[in-house]
Amino acid sequence: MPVRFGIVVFPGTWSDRDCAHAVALAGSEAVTLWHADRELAGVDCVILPGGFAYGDYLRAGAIAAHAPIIAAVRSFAAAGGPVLGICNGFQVLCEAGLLPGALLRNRSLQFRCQWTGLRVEGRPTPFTAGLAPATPLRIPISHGEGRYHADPDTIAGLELGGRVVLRYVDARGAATPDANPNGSLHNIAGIASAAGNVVGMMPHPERACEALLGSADGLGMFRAVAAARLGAARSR
Amino acid sequence: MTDVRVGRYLAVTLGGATADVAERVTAMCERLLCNGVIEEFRFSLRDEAGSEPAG
Repeated sequence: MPVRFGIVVFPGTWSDRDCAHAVALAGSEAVTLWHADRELAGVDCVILPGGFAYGDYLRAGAIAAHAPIIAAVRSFAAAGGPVLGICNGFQVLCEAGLLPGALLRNRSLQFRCQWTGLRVEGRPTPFTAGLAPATPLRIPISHGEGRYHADPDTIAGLELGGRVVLRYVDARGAATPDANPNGSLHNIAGIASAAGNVVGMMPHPERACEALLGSADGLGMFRAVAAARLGAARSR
Repeated sequence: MTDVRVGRYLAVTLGGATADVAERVTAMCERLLCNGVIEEFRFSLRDEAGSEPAG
């Protein structure tokens, strides 16, 4: 039985179909979940995709963090279920308190749509376990508010706990200022929850799943969670 | 000029009892209107005539 990925759609979400396409390429099944739903339809993994949920009024992700389905996502995450927030989904997870910190306006004050290099590091997560590329992942960003920010104690805790799982790096794997597309503290591109099962990232792995379109480096993240869930199912 | 800040100004009209209005506004700010990671808030209360409510 294929692993079932629940893809949450809020009004204004726009990367849900790309995510469903990536899930299919990874050999899994995509299940669309509506923001007003209160249940997750028995999915194995939840993805909060990119977009502008509820128009990002007030702050990016702020209204979506109070949507009915978030209570179900919160319970799912508390029970150890894998949750991935991509771009706007990362902003929603931060606003919901499922991940620490916040995403501020890009340092450039401009929307940035470009390729980035990402180093996979830190503790294993359902989305990065087994990913040990010799070269940085090539995955694009597409956001105006992606500058990761948190207070110094939180940043130190993330670093010490191995919870920075993706970092913007140059072609040689160095986290330089030039490799940082938005001014994120410590070049942070993605972080994990304390338990490791909730991950938020600004880059879009679902848009890097076919070499024809420039990169297939994102596909590994969908395959990783599928492999982990199938492994867990077999061991039960 | 040594500094300039751009903030967000919200005018919220409340119905119901006035006894716990400060607590209600504080809860609104903490739960939704303000993100404590990157923002701070302060508020003042006026009655419909525009004056500070008594008590």
